[in-house]
Amino acid sequence: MTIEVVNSEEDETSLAEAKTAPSYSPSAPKSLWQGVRGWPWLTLAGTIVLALPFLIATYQASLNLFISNNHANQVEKALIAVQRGRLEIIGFIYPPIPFLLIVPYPHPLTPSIMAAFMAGATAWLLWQRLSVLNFPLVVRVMLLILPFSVPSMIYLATQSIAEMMLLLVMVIVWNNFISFTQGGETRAGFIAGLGLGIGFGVNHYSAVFGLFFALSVPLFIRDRRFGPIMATVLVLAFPLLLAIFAWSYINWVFVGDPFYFVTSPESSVFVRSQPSDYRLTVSFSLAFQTVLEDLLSVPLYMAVGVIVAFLHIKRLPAYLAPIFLVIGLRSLGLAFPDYLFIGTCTVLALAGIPRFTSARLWPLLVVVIILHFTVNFVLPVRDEVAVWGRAMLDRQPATLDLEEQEIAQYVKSFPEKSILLNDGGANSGYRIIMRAGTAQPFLLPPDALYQIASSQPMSFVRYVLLPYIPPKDPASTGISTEAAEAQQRVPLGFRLKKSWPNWRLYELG
Amino acid sequence: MGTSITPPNSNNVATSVKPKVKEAGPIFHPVIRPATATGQPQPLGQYLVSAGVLSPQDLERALEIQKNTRDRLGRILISMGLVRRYDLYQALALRWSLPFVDLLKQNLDDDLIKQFQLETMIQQLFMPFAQDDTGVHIATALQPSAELEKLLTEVLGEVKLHFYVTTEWDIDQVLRRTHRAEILDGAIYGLYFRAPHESAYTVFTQRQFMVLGILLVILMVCLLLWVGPTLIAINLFINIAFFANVLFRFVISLAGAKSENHEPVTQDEIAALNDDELPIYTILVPVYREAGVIGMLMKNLADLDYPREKLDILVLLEEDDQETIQAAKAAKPPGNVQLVVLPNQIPKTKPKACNVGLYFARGEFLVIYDAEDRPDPDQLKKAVAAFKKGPPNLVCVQAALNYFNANENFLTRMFTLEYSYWFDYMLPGLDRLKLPIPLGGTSNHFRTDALRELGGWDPFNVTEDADLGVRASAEGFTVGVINSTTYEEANTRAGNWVRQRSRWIKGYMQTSLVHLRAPHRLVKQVGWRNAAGFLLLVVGTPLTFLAAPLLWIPYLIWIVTDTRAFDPLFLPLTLYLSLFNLLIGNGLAINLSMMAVFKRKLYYLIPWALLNPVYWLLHSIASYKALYQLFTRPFFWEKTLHGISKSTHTPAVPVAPVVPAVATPTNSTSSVSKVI
Repeated sequence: MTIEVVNSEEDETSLAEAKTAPSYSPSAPKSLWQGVRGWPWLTLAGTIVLALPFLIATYQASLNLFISNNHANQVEKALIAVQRGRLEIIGFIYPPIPFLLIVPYPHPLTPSIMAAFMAGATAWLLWQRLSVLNFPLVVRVMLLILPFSVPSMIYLATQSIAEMMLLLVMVIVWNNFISFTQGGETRAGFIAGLGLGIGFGVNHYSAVFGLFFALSVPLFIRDRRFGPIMATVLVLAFPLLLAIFAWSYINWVFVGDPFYFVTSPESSVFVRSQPSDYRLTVSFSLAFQTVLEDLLSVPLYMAVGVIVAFLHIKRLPAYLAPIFLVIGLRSLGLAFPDYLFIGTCTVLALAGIPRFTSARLWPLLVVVIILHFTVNFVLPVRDEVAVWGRAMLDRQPATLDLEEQEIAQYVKSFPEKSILLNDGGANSGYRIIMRAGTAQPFLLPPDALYQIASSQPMSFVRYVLLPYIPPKDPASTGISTEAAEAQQRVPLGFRLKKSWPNWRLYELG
Repeated sequence: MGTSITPPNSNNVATSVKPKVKEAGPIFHPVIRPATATGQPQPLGQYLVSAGVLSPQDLERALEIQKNTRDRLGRILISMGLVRRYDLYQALALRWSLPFVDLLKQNLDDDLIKQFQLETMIQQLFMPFAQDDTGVHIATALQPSAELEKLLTEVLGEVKLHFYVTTEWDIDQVLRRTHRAEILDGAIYGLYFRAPHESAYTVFTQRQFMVLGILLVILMVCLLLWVGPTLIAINLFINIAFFANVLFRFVISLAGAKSENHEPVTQDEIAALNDDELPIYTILVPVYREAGVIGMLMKNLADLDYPREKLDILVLLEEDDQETIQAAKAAKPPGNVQLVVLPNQIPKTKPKACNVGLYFARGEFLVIYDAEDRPDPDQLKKAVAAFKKGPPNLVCVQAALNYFNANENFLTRMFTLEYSYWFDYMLPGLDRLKLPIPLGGTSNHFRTDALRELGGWDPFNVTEDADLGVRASAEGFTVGVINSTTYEEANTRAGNWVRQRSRWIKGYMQTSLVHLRAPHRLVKQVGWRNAAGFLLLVVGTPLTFLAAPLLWIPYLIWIVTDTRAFDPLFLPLTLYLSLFNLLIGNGLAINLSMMAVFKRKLYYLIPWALLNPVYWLLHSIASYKALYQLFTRPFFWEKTLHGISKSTHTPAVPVAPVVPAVATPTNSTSSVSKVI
């Protein structure tokens, strides 16, 4: 992955400024986005305005009771943390930063609202970048609005706080990376490194981005001697390495396994843990194929790639790096969702349009951007994005969501820790807790008594809530529905109290 | 005006002074009557040429300089080492038609001299030395003026004044002799008498002893009665303190880094300074047992890009350090360098020496350098420009310090990492946020009058510089930083390092105790914000070093033994804070020091930043030594040995090219004066 600003003119500007740069710092070229720093209120206003469409989309999704699995999981973990009073009892959920942002107000809408503002901030930063292009205002507005209006981007901006935050952080890192490598501003280097480190707390792909930035240093740095290159790489990479070490240390201290955040069943790092969310791609050819398919959704990225190839061929490898990185990652079995790939390529394309791209190219870009917008509505979306898309289009809640809501409303006023529930694994117990808005009635795996209560529920809880797997077609299995029901394991000493299509509630006695 | 200024003719002088000076040295009479064809006095330069003490070529050079600086020719000639001070003033005596007097050979009338304020005589360059029936005999290094006459009359009444010419150094030297006790008292106790609450002479006030005692008793009682909760509370407190320190330093560093592209003084501003507008600049160089670096000192001073004749350099030597005194003499310093020998009296500290120097400082501005310092050549000009554009209450600007022997060994590398961070991020950050700046040991440039107003340095405080920065803030002055660096010699030996660091930490403890005697007064003087900055920086620094082992030792025990014994001490909040401090706090500190040396392009030092925790352990060792000494030897000045680096004689980093502005004098024109 790379977010690349490729323009030779930018270098010339930097050189010109370097001539008058103070001797105290090696040179002081200004970043293209530097002006933004001095206008915090303008940035805030721009962020809010650009976040508004995403907030509306969030509201619409909430009316339809849709909430992504990631958000549901994070809200549920935040509820447990707040109501149990200790962060570490949940095994330090990874990634921690989105989770910690939700902790102060663990409501189903909180992560979506935050994601919307992050998307607004990202769009604002990109708008600053687009503002320096020689295109008519309408074209620049189209360049910003249309790519952000496609389903994958709206999903990212409303239902995927971690990935959206990662993109925002990486845009900030990119800005400072340029100031650092080209202008020698150590403050920018510090912020870029810090961003990568913080990024690891947002999403594990920050490590991949860090690798990209490290490899890109020789392409951008002015002083191409070995020493300065290595030094630049080291100071950029140190916070990221520190973040990885710190999180491994915390895992080791509290869970006993430094790589628990990678190896745990709930880890989002490997694709096997969330097969419903990510495309299962564990071979090179399959990975290659999926990336090619994804590339069809980002004509803008490819068009800008052509411009980059003409204007700044040396930096083309950095621009194309995401393609190779994602192929590699998917080949290794690491999850890299389609919408994140599309989001990454979009951001990269908008940030990477060379500054002095000929103004005469704007009609071509308009065609490309319309094509980009259109194909994203024509090509099918997959997995949870598709579910979200249906919820948005149908304007009515899905059956599963209605069921979860009903269960949540039914159990949320039960006595404290009276319901034994496994909120982990493949079942959607965490979604029920999230919808209930409280973890108080439940005895959960993070609780000390959970293990023993699982083996002897009648001694510890009054209710047991279990997922119900409906029997398959009697004709094909030869087992009647009644017999299948009877085979459903009822906890010893409990009787069925209430049933839903996918859940059963058992009561003691 | 009743008193007449009588330029005595030779006979008059000889007869009139004779009764008082008959056993003493001679009064010199003009032997040459320099005069032009029109009867006007011959110009000084021409006279010196005709007298054979100056070559025409040298005169031409000096006149060329004078065109730029518009300074007095005599001062230029002396600073260039082209004439001896003694010869010059004899020539001036002829020009002014006054006799020349060798003050060092006169019997002096102490009662007469002490009718005048010491500071007045030093600044106005005169002193009465004898009186008789004919009137009062005044030695002066300036042509007598109506103002001087008025000043003299106000004190002496209606008497006849007889003027003689002498050198300003002779005046200084004699005054150091006649006012020895006053000077020493002032240098040592001046601040204490002026503002006892600002002096570290009293280490702990009664109230502080009482508070400390009460706190200790409470702690003991709590430990006896509620050992668990007490330890939990202590653990929480320490972790909160560390956490606050981490955040504070992070914020300051970011603010400092933000100043990266802001130059307090630009090259244009320096170029805009005209030599003729530059003020006299005093340089104080206290040296003790540093004979080996005297040669380097002279060279480094010569490298300064500042008109020589406007430099007033005082090398402050200690009487019992004959080796350095001899080395200084042997170095044959140029005419603008005065060697001042201080009497062998405790406390034998740098601030005391500097206070003596402050008495005799004639510069509008003043700076302190250590003997081995290599300031950037344009540092003085940058300071002048900074004062020129700064607010009127700007009392001091601090230049950055760094090391020329950074790559010598582990200690020098770590020291360089630390200083790069401190001077390139922390101090600019404090400056930007307008918080009190604890000054560094050298390269702090002052407005001399404001420094005198502040009472100079506290000789009982072993980090008198840090104390002065805080004191300046408390008195309503501000301190700034300039974008110039002085290269010093980093400590190369562990023992020497611990000695030096223990002194610094002890000094921070002293400064903390002084300014916390009346916390309400501190808050009233500097405001809540600055008081908080003072607490976190000056008070917090020794405390964190002292507290660090209390955290590290249990941690190491836990790592090795996997004991659960410490678990009860960690409430959830304590646990999160300690994790943050351990992982993020230390990591940030390492990262910032990496960035600091990156900024200095000292790339090879970046991996060494990872060893900072080891270096911090040394700080803890030094801090416990400092704490011990605070109670046992509070004023003891742990002397740092200089000149032990391999690089002392061979610069490890490029230094500015030597500007051979000073002609090597064939005859030394410096003087060695001594307070006896």
